[in-house]
Amino acid sequence: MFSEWLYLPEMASTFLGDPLVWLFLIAGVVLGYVIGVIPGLGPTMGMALCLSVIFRLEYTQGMALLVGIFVAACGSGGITASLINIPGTPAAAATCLDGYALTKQGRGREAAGYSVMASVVGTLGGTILIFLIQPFVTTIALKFGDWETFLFCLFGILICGSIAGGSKKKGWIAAFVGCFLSLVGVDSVQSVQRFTFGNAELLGGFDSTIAMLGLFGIGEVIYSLREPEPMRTVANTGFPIINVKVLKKNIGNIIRSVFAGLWIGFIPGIGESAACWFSYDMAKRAAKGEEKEKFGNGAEAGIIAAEVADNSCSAGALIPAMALGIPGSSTAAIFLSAMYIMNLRPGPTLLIETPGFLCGLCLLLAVAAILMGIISFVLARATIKILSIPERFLMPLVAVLCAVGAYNSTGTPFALIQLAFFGFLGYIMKLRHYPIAPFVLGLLIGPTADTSLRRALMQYSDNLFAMVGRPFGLGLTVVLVIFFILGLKSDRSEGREED
Amino acid sequence: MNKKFLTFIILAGTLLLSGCASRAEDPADWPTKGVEVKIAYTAGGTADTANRQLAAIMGEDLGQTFNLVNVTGGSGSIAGQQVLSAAADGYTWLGDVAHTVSGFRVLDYADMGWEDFYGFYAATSPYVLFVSGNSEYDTYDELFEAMKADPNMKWGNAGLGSINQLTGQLMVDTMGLSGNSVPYDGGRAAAVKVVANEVVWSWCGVSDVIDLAESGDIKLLGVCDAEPLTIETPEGSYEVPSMLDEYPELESLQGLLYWGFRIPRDTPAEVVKKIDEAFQKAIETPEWADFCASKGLEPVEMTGTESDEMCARLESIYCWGLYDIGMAPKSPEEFEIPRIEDFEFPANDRAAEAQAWPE
Amino acid sequence: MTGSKMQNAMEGIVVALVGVIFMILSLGIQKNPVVTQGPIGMFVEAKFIPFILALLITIQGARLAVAQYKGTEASISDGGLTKRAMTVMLLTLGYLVLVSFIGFSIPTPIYVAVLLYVVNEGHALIKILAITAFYYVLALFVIPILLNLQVL
Repeated sequence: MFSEWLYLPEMASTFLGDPLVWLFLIAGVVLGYVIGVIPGLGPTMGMALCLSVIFRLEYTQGMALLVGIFVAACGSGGITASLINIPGTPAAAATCLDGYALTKQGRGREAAGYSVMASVVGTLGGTILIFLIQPFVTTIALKFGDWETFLFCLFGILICGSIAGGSKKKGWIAAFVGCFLSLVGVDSVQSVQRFTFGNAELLGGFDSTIAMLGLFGIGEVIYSLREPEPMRTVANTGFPIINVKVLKKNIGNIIRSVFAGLWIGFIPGIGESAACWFSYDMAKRAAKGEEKEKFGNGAEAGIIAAEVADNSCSAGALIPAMALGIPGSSTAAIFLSAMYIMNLRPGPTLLIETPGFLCGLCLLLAVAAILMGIISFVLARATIKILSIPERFLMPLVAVLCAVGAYNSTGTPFALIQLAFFGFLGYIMKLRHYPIAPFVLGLLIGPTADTSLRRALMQYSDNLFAMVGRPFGLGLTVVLVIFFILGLKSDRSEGREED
Repeated sequence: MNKKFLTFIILAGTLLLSGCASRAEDPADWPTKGVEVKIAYTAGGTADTANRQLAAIMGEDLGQTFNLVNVTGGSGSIAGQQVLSAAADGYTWLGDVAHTVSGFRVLDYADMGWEDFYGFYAATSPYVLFVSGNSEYDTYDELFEAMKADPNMKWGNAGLGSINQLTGQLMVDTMGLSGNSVPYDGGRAAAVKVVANEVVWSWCGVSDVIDLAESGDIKLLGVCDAEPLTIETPEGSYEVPSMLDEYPELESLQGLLYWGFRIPRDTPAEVVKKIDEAFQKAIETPEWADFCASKGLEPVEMTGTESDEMCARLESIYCWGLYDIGMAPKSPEEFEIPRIEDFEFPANDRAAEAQAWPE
Repeated sequence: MTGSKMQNAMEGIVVALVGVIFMILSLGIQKNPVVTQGPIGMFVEAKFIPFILALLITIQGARLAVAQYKGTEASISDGGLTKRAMTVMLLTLGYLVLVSFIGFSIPTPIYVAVLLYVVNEGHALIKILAITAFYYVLALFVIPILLNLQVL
């Protein structure tokens, strides 16, 4: 197993010694940046695009292009999220909360700076961890079964009440409605139709990408245009401001978020769009006093936690894909397809048949992360300028792009009806101060929670104790119980503070 | 007034522009642009990889890019609907497994069947019975003995209603055995659970799990095919015996998995012929042969009436299988689909009246 | 005032009602085709989790209604009922629905032009038209061609 690591020097010269690899890496990063920044277009789309090009290339060059797009698209969504409250990619949704708050205070360039730096750090951190863990990962992946997945989803739902501040009751309502809506369609355990009303379009349920485009994108378009006064101050445009001191202060936060993101990416069915929320919530809970108050109002720690996790999660999702050939997220799925095109076989034979692949991949990821940092920094200047255009001119374009993006998610006209539905919902929620975060989290993990619980029960129908007694599961249950108790305690003390 | 006039001009201009964007195409020129293949299964599975490889070969030959997307859900009915509602001009294909579109009527998902498409099938693979690499069972007879002793033994399937699950259940029933069938998301996911020892055995097409067999993570106990298989593992190679020698009653489960693509049946004849030509060429390339060899697949060339008949057979097996386990709200009788024992071709009016393949 | 207290509580009541509707819909889901034996069987049903969620929604809605009635929670409506707000909302949603029927090419310029007109309160008409044309080309030609997207 350890022998895989010895290939590092050789892979460094194979991958990085080829100037074409650098060319494709840079091209990928630039393309990925543009895709990530524009709401409506996401990494899945960008990577799918390059699939048709890849099979003509050497596999090192194909990987370079793919990794470039992948890293940059995941990383640059936070800039748009901060500047116009619409995430450029679904995984950047949590950045909206504090990034946009900073922009409203005229500190948009700082927000963009945190987003860029956190993305780079997150990717690098995730890459280092993949490199160290990959050879051992199969064992862990196999021990994590349906019951454990369910417990994890339960954890996610438990944090929904408090995730984005504001009224807890509204948070729970949003979460439960999101979960409920996620169950529309054909259930994955026994193919039972739920809430489809004989409509063929609804058989697949609601598409989560389109839902987020509607909630965050269209919802924000309507919300920000409903009043004549602009919501944000158009500050001086320029390069993003990188505040190293704040980053140093957040080292603990960063490390925690890298692990959290990686772990979530690892669990199939949760996906990178949820990672940013878990991490954000953990950062919020870990903050004390004055720092805690800032969350929702421009906490740098919040932006950093969300962006670091979002990037390390994308990297993390690659691990089970490579180790078992099972994609844990849609971006990982495209990655897998690309690997097959390049005649690689993800799965247990991958490192046997193509030794050194892991090293090559990690090298590409690391270099792409650094390139992304540089290129994002440079391009962000123009991006900030464009995104600082007053809403009354910018938003109509955003609406059209969301429509184009939604249509391309599924290729059916029904996508637009879904977009309109969620746009309306998002707008109403913003008006009535229902936090969208729990709704999105519910929407994302609802199906996984449902499927995993029912499968676990079906498996252990004759012996529930065995199910609960599974080692990993037991550990998670203990953590959950502690968490729940702590949560109740803090609720009570908050209640007392308010009196 | 001026401004209103200007508005009118610009609107009229854009309408004209958009009008220019859509032009009808002459079928004889096919292909003038890229083809989109909607794959009804997730990335990484055989349907996905086979279609991607086929598209890569055909794309080079035809000089066009193929854009493949995975559209999962509704047992493939969503992808099927999308392909049928797109223009029947040869630019939108459905990548799937031969039985995929046959279940929609009885499942009440859509009014669609194999007669609505021309099917082109390029590879086949037999079913294998397997257990975990470190399992105590070394032959399928040992496993069957254990299943008799423990009627609740857990086995993993690719999802209730999937062809793997139906045939697996048929296998169990034919052998007079029973078990606790746990559904997962696809053949590969079930295989991973076998490796994890969460279930004891599973049953799927060998192409989905061949790499797990080659790494020794799973042990293939038997193959549902006349020919035995040889598997090379790091510890040496072993032969997977044919189950049909000892249990000829399992013959009906042979030759059920075919992978390829479909195009709408009302595609113009010239386009169908061109696609057929490109398909035949692609099957005969060494790249296709290599791909199949690496995945434990056998290349085949199934088009024309042969393809129709095979799909009709699968329809009988699949629809009655679904109905017998209670998953189909509608009976196949309603659609004049005979049981496989009473099968003849064409089985009903719908099949007889399906548009013929172009000569 | 009881009148306005009830008005405040309307939001919670509406949510609770939605929850009840969801519960009824959940009960309408068909039984699992392959039934799991034993007491666990109920929890494995496809209708179980939607029902529980709907129940939770109803409960939270009721709690919200009570809190809003008592005044401990506010019933907020951030200015959604102005003429401008309604226009923007109807325009945008209408655009999306129209596109689903007749495609992007016609509704897009109309939507962009009219929306720009409304939110810019009738100023700078020439600029609006120029921007409309630019956005049309950018969103429906340039970006789709660059990324191989299907639009027109």
